[in-house]
Amino acid sequence: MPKMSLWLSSVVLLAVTISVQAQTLSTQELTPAPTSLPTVQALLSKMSQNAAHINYRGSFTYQNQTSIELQSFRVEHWIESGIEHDRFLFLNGPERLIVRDGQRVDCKAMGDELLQGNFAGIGKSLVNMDQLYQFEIRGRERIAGRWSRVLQVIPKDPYRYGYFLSIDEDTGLVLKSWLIDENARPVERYQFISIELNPDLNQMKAKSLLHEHKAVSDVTPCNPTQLTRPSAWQVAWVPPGFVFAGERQLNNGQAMLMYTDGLTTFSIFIEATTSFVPEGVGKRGATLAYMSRLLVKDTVYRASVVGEIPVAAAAKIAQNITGL
Amino acid sequence: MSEQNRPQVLAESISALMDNQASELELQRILKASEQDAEVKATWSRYQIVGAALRGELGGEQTPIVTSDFAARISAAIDEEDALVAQPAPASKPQQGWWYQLGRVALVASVAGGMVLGVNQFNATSQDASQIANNSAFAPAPVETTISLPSGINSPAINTRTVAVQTGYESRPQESRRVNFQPLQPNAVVSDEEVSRYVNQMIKAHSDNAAMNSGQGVLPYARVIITDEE
Repeated sequence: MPKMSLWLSSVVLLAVTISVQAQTLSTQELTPAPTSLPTVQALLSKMSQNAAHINYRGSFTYQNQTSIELQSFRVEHWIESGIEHDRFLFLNGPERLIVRDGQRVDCKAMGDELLQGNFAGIGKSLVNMDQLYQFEIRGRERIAGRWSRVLQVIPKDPYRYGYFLSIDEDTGLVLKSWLIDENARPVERYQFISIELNPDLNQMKAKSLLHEHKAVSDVTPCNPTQLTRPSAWQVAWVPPGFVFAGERQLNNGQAMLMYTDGLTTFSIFIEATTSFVPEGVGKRGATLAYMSRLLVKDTVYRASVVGEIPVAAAAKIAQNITGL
Repeated sequence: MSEQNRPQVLAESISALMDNQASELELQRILKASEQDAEVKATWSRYQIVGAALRGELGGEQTPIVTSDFAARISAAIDEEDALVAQPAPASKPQQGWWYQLGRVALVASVAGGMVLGVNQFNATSQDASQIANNSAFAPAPVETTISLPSGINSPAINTRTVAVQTGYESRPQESRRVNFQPLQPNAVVSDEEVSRYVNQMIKAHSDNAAMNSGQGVLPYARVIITDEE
């Protein structure tokens, strides 16, 4: 009897799979596809620039490798007098709200410049993104009730992860994003379930009573015109294509150095310490922290490389940090 | 509960116990009643006979199942049961001696005189049973999932092993803030809590960078864990 039902269910599953595939095929044939395929560059530019210019409210789910738990979030984004506003609400667990205000809508961070291919303006020495990743457009996909282009991004070296990005054809919003590690396993997944364009602004601007966490806007400079270096540290090696995007001094005394290759980011945290420095690799979800001890002119520093990068990259970066 | 429908309810509970479906409460009720009420024992006995008959286990000579000399019959039943129990073996658990065996025998509700053993011993077996139930319900079995790509993506399926949940069900996802730490020095005494706090603080600061420089808007903030102390 159980064998019978197992057999039955697998037949049903097979039938469903076949019909879904058939349906996908037929919708692909029936839906009038846009006459010309967007180029990869156009798609990346749209993703990095268009999405900042629209007002929307949406919900998405998030899952990472550490926990099978599915989490959900609501995001709101609007522009007022040329300034961007973001609200990021945690829908699971304790009520939390991340607030980010004050970024100018015409602000292009270093990551945007790289994604949009504005290399000439910044520096001739920059590596084109095509040399870092292989980009392939993988057809269309309907997510959160909207049509998107699926972009597969495969790294060309072992120092960064790959992506599947489903980019809204209309708005440029990333409707779905998978981060894929060196063993071709997804380490992190986001997916929108609903998007509302141009929602009621007054409702979104209403002050919340929640515990708010203020995120830092313009954490790296806008519209960079040249390549810069960290002011107090030397990082002798970063993976090809990664560019120094800016630095900050955190309230807890840490110096934070930020890097990006356009799609992938990592940050370096350095602080002087007199206590024991635990060295090793910490991992939560897709993010890795390579923690090491650094000795510069008789002072012990705690230096950590944090980002969504493979351990090989983080370790090599950490070993190449020195004082000026 | 009126005197009249009380035996009826008990009979239903006994029936449930026969099918190994009785709740902890029902089990207690049956045990208590069986101390005072011979009818309860008789009902149990009758059900067992019916059950045995249905399973075709009723031989010609062993008709009166519950009379006396139960210890001898229990050991006989255990001997018989060994073959039956060993075959389906749901999980390949090592044999854990007489008490474990007795627990299993009670579980499959096949020993006619099981109840007659008395409250003390039955408590022990029911504890066994609940432990087994606990194990099967909450043991964090490694989950192996195959995630295939959506039909819009024409590439080979990606196989992934989802990491088993370490702490069982997490009702508050924000609490899943534990950082998996692999120390470089194997003997170093490092506080997991301290490392988690340090790494989570850096992930939060790093998310500002990621949200600005990875082209995916504010999505990276989903990685942030905000605690009350801030």
